[in-house]
Amino acid sequence: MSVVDHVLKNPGLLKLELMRRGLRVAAEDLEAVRRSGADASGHAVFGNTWDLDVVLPRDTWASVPVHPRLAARSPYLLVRDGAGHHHVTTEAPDAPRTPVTVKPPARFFEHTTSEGIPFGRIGTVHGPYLALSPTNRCAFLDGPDRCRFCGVAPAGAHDALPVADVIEAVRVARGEHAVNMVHLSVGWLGGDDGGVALLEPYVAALKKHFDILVAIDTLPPRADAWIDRTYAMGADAVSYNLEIWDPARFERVCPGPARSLGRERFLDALGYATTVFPSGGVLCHLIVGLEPLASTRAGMTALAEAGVVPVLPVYRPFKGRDMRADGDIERFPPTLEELSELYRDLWSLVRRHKLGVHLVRDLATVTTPLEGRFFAGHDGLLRRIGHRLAGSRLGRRTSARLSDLRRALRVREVGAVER
Amino acid sequence: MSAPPPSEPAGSEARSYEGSGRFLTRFEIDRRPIGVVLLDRLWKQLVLAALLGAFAVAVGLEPPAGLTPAGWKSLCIFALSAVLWATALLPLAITSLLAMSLVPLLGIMPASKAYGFFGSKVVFFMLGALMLSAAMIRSGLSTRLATAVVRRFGATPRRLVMAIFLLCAGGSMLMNEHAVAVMVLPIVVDTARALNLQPLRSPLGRALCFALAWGCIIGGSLTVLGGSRGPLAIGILEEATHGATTISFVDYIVFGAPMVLLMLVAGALLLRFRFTPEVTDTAEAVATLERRAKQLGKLSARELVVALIMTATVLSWAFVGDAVGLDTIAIFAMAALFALRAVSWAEVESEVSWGVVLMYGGAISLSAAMSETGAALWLAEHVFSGAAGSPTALLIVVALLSALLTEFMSNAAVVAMLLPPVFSIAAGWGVDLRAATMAVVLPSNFAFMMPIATPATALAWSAGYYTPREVAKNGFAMNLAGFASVLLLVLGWWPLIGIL
Repeated sequence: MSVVDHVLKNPGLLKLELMRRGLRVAAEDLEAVRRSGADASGHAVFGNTWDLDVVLPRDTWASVPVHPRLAARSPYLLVRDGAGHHHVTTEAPDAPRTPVTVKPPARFFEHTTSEGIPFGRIGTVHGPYLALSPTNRCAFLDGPDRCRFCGVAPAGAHDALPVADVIEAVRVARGEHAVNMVHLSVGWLGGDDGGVALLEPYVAALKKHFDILVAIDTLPPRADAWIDRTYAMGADAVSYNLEIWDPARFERVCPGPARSLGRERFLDALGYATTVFPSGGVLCHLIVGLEPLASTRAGMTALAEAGVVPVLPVYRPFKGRDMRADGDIERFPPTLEELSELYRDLWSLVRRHKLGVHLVRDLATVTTPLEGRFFAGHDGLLRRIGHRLAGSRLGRRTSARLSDLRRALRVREVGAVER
Repeated sequence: MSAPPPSEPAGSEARSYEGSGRFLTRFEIDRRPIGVVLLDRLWKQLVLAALLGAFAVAVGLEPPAGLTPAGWKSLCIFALSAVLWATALLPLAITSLLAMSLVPLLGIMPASKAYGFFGSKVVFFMLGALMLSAAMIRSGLSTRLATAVVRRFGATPRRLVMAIFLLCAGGSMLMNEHAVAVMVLPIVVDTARALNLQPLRSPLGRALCFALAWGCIIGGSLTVLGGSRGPLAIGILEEATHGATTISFVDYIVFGAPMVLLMLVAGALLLRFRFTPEVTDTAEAVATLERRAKQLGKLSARELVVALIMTATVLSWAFVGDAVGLDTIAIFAMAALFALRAVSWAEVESEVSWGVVLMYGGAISLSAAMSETGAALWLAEHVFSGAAGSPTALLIVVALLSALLTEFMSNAAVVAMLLPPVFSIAAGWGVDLRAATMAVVLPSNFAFMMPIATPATALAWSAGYYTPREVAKNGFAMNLAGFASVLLLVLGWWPLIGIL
């Protein structure tokens, strides 16, 4: 069996490959993405403007790049059979055909906020994955401190949205899919709180209106007390994304966070957060492809040992921020063998350190530790049943309720102080 | 990657309270294992569930020999209530209401009869007393009186301590001791701050706080005005004797006066010799109180009205209380306060401890059920008859038990729990039920050792000048003095005045 055949039969490997190399699609599907999808609504926050949402076997969501320039050399094709069902295959005559479900672009992107801002510019939805940015202003956007991979357009930045708009966006997204987790992100606002004070009313409102998990994606606050507050206000998970493990490269790729906070603050904040949040509730992205894989591997090992769940998205060039020609990129993209070994090790690390992974389920736009289970050889029947149960509607709701119960037990108000 | 030590305090400061931008909530994250946190947070609910389960099982059992099914059920309710009162798993008032509602639910007596006991005149007396206290506090009269006394008698630290002690004792003879503690606590705290006394270190700070707690407890033992237990005990006595026997306002004082006198002396000696003040000059404290007095301004018309009504009420209780009834006088005083605009309903509503009123009604109802079903008699025979070989020994055992229980339970709850069985056995011995009542009610106020035992001790402890261990250590000495005083009553005073 060829490597490609092997990939087509393994949803984890297939997701890696599709995320890495893209998917060639028929013109009509491509047009649908362009006309109705995120790109049409001007979505630029998360960069996935030419993605097609595909559900691979075993309910594995993948937001697959289909832009012709990226996917032109991909061996993988999206085809339709006579009954109209989609399959991923290659051009080889006897290639296996992997049945997939192609999701139409979310209607989420057709909506606008009360101030007329398209939902696509405040966030993105890919199946059950929903990410919102109440404001996409970031003090690093204009100038030399900007992260070099960042795809946010400074001209499109908007001020903090009314809470009601964010609630409406979640309501719309949940109308389409069983969204169980909302990722709220905010850039560098210059204060000591890492944006926690700004996010607090949104988190409180989300918890009030929905049985839902809320993940916060910010830069680390300068004082640990804000991490306590992040948990106390309702966040179930927190991401302080270092992005690059190598210290020197981190300073070059992320000059703003490096200068304003420093790598050590990221690590201290992550370590402190693991004493506050439940297992699996502290995450850190390390972008695969922007530094040598050995460095990424060292980073994920150190993070996992500290109780942090490493999430390793494969670098994808964003509109206007293509780093492929950058001298930083030593070899992009990494080979499938390199990637599969990396994610296999990641899955083993996560299991060895007993880190929860339920909070990274359904992250369509990035590759998560969960994908490693498909090729790490540890995906037994019981684990598969457990995964299926946890991913069910009841499982998701139970997860949110249990998370709230944990908070109710662990957090106590101990008075007030004068401002 | 460095994680903070688990013990590191974790507060955060950002969210403002609704309606105020000045204050920020602080949070603390409990980092103990979740199982430990769960047990810590839910142990009360788990114990409560276990208790209710045990109660349900017990109610279904065959009654012991000599006890009717209704009596057995009453006894089960009584046991459940006793544990709930002692552990405070439910608020005292809720426990009382639960007990009251269980009586008809288990078919012990009809609902109309069980709930009818709630209409006891004791309940209405308490209501009136609490409203009078509220009027004194809200009008500022109580603060003015306290300030004046301290200013007048607090020339030296020792005199200051004595002034607080006697002020609290004197005040608690005239009004609810809890109200006195609430009234005097700010003055003690202000004084301690004015003298720059260090929390947990200052002997003078400790002495002032003990003076407050002990003064309230001892003074409150002299009259029925000092606390809820006196009226409750009298109510239960009247209920048990169908109104044939009661204790008048003056009798109550006469029966307990030597004990109160002895305890005042013991308290004063302990305060004098156990705590050596670290400062010699009270000028700063006096200056602080002078400022406080100036803030009060001249005696307002409202304070004058409250003072007149209070004086008239106390005199009426003393001289026509037996004829008219304490409750009736209290209600008329209450009406006079409202008629003369000396207090508003909103003030009364926020100041009165309504839970106490509810607790009384429920406790009286349970007492009646115990009595009418024969459960009280059965219990008394089994608990006290073996321990007491004579009427005197019985009263001593009863007093000891009452003093012990009150460290863990509200004194009113102790009275409600002990009196019915004590009456049953005391009647068999031919003991004057007034003596039996006093043997229970007087020691039931000896809540010296535990901060949770009574509001006065809890409030004094809340000032932060001593630890619970110090409360227990010094309170034990006071408990010994109190029990010695009760022995004097039982062995000397009550035989002398002819009630034993």
